[in-house]
Amino acid sequence: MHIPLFPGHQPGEHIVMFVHRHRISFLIPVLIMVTMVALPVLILLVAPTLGFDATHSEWIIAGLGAYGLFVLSVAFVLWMDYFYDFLILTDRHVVNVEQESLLGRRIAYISLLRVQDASGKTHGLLQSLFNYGTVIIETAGETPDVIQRDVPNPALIAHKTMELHDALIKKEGRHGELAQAEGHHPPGKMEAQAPPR
Amino acid sequence: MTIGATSFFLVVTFAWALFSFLVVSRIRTVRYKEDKSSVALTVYLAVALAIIMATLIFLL
Repeated sequence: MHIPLFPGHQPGEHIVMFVHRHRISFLIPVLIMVTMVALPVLILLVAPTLGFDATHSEWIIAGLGAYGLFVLSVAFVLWMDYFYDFLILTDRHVVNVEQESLLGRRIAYISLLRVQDASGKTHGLLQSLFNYGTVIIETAGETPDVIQRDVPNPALIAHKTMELHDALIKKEGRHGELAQAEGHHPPGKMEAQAPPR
Repeated sequence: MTIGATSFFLVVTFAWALFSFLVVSRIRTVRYKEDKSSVALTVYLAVALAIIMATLIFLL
């Protein structure tokens, strides 16, 4: 029985790459969380020096408990946003899954036959140091492009995408159609189609 | 006053439980095969339970 690895996974479709976001890209959410945890601790440390009245300490405990649950929930939603963003390259498709928020999700399935161009982009100190960045896969027609951010080794993914695209074109025997679409008509066909003088 | 604070915290806990139900349902729909999200979910629920228990112990 065929168990799909991702939504839309067809039987016999071979997964070449399954790419998650780079772990370093989770650094900013971690820093946000550390700040959110440190903030009440700092306030509680500073409060006695400012003449804080601790007669309602039960409200402080309840408030800290509520704040703890809030911070934990925010952390989990940020983790979901990080963990469920991924790019899958199969021998037939590019599948881009983007978790936009807790309830927002965008999944793009693009046939490798429609891919026109793939590029990898790194920008800034962290991305250059840890070799991660954005992969942009452009397609023909009105289909929106695939943009996956913070993936490791974007240049390799772009290269692999084009390699798979070329292999599929060759396998399906679509080279003639592709050449025609790009304006490179085979000379034999052009002569045959030319009107008689 | 303790009753007020405890009631407040119980309301917050109830709201959190509703939110967590939504999160768990969401994970069930977005997860894929061989996904390790159950580990993260267990940690999340365990830490939340620890916070709830610790707060209630201090309050009661």
